[in-house]
Amino acid sequence: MSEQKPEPAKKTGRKFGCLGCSFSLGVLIAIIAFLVFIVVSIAIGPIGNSIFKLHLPSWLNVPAPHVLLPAEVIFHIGPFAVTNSIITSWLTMVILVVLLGLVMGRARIVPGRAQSIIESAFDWLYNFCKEVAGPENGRRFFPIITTIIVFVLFNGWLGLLPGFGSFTKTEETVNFPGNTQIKEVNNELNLKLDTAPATMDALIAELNNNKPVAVNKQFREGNVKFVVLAVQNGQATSVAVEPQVPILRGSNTDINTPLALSLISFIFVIAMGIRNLGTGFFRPYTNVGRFMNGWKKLFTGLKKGWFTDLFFGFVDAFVSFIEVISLFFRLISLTFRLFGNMIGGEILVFVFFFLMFVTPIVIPFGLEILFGLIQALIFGFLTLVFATIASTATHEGEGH
Amino acid sequence: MTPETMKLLAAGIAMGLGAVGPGIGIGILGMGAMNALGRNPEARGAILTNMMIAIAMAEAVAIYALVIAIILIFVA
Repeated sequence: MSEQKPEPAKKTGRKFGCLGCSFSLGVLIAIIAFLVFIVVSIAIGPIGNSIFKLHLPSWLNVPAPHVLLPAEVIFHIGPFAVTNSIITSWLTMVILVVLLGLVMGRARIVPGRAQSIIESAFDWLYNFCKEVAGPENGRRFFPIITTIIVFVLFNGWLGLLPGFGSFTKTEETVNFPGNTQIKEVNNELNLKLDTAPATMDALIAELNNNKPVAVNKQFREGNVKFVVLAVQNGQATSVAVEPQVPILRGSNTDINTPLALSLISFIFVIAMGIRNLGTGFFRPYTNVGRFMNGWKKLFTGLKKGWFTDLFFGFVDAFVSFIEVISLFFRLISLTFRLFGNMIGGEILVFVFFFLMFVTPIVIPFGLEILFGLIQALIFGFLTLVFATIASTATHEGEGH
Repeated sequence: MTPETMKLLAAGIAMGLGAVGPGIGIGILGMGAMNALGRNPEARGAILTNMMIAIAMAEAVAIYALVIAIILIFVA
């Protein structure tokens, strides 16, 4: 068969078989292998360690997740502190500008592969904007909404790249004698080292697997690096402690970036509302006319209807009070939704790294790719919907 | 109970109870979307995007609980 028709046999051989197995058997074996990998990787992680009392080599151990909510300052430009999340936002902007500049700078009428991917994505967003906000407003809202979506999306995905958190910078180097208590080190450097050995000496010995230490040997514990400076009888007499700070960090895992984005969205919504409705935009938020009218009727002696005016006016005023609160609550809600999702995803990845050895990492990574996309779209769509609501006149008393 | 124990317990309870409401909400939203899809299969795109937005609104409540739990564990 294969001699008569070499080419089709080759094709079907590629498609339906692998290493001598049929296709379905191959898939089954792959799934079983993946499950076995998951079980093994859980078993050799900390969970299995504590159940089966395995004593694994130290290079298999991943440090427990260490989360710092405030972003770390990398350097200063005058009085302006540049944090690692700001650097990542700049990096995202540069990547976006370069990518879009390269692809769309040489845009052709018959698009190439990259151009058609970008064009179809933007076309979909443009149509969505027009569908939600109407043709005219959709055209007006499209640029800022797409900017928000693309920025959040690429920022989220950038944090998933391998080696993203590996670029570190030594914040400061402090020398300690080997018999310093860990508590003192924590107090001095504002760290959260949480280890069983109480002194630096014992910690270094444990990191070195209880062997004698040598000069200039380096150890890592979480995000802190230890360098042995002097040794006597295999015991460290002087140790340099160097807290490591990641240079890059997903911008939206620092609360300030989501807050800035939500402020942009908030101001955009109000500006579009004022632009489309003029002072009418403020009417749902300052609806106290009837209430005041009720008071006026009561005190000018026009007895008829003062109570209904006062009562329903009070209801109107209360509703507009709630409207104001909900307007400002959107700001908080947008901020914390994005921040919580991004930092939650990062912690999820860290915890998976900590609990399992290598293989099942694909699970949170897949989830994070999806969540990054969904959160970016949600942020943009909510801004779009709020802007549409704000720029559409409310017809009081018509539909009730 | 040490303060550390209370902190972990509080974080667990915050996340666990905070996930109940959004779970129910997202379930109801999914049911509504499926019903709508069954009645009107052509409106798939519109239903999907609106469902996503509504789910994100419901999910935000769970995210607040998550933020509280994270703050309790890592900051407080």
